[in-house]
Amino acid sequence: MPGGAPTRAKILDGRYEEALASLGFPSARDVTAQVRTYLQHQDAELSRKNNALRLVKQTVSQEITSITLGPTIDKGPTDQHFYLESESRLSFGIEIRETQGRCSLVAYRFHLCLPDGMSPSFYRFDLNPQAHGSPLTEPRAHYHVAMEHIRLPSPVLTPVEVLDRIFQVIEPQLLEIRYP
Amino acid sequence: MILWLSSYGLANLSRFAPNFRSFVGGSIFPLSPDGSTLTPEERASRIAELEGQFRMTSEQAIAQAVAGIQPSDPLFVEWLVLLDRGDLV
Repeated sequence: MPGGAPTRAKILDGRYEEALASLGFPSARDVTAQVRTYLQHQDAELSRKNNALRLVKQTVSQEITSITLGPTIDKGPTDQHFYLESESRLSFGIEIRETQGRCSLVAYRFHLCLPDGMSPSFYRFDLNPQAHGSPLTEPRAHYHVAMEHIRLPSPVLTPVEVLDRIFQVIEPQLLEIRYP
Repeated sequence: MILWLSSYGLANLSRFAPNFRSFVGGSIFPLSPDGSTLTPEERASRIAELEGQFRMTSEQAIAQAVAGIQPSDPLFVEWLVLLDRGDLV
């Protein structure tokens, strides 16, 4: 039974393909607007203001649109991050493909770095652009909890659904711990 | 019809008039001095970071993508887009 783990992981990766195919987005521009609006909405509640319109950047190449916020790799606080009330900092990159009237999710990376001294030190939600050769250790959609090489499978989430988990699941718990 | 709103106004529009926000859809454009695209300096800086992260040059990254042996990593997709090689994704 334990020997079947690689096969089961491959089947799971196959289900990600189906899940991705079922997700429909009107356009990359709409995804950018959704993400910006979501962050603007959150920002209105924060004591330390971010400027989501300025922080979220878009780059287009051929059929692929990249929507980014913050540095590519988190190496410490920058003024390009989005800061939450808990003082956690968020950075992300989302890649969308628009082709022949269809808009689909290619990849994403949402990195939430917690304030110094808090454990775990970070959460990251990744969607890889294609299946990995070893889906057991690297499922296409996965999350990390403070460990770069431990990737636990997650459902394929839309960018806004990832933000829901960051702002409405993780952040409230951090605030309870930080400001009991 | 054009609405010219502050960022705070946009947040209030989303909160108090979700139906209208839905009607507006993706037609929201930020007006700011630096726009909403990466500057050439920001692009170069990100490319340099990615070269360091993956320990290869951008030319090697493109060669890997052409050969179909690139890492399955969201950062690699971002890298190809920054290099204006979205056709290789």
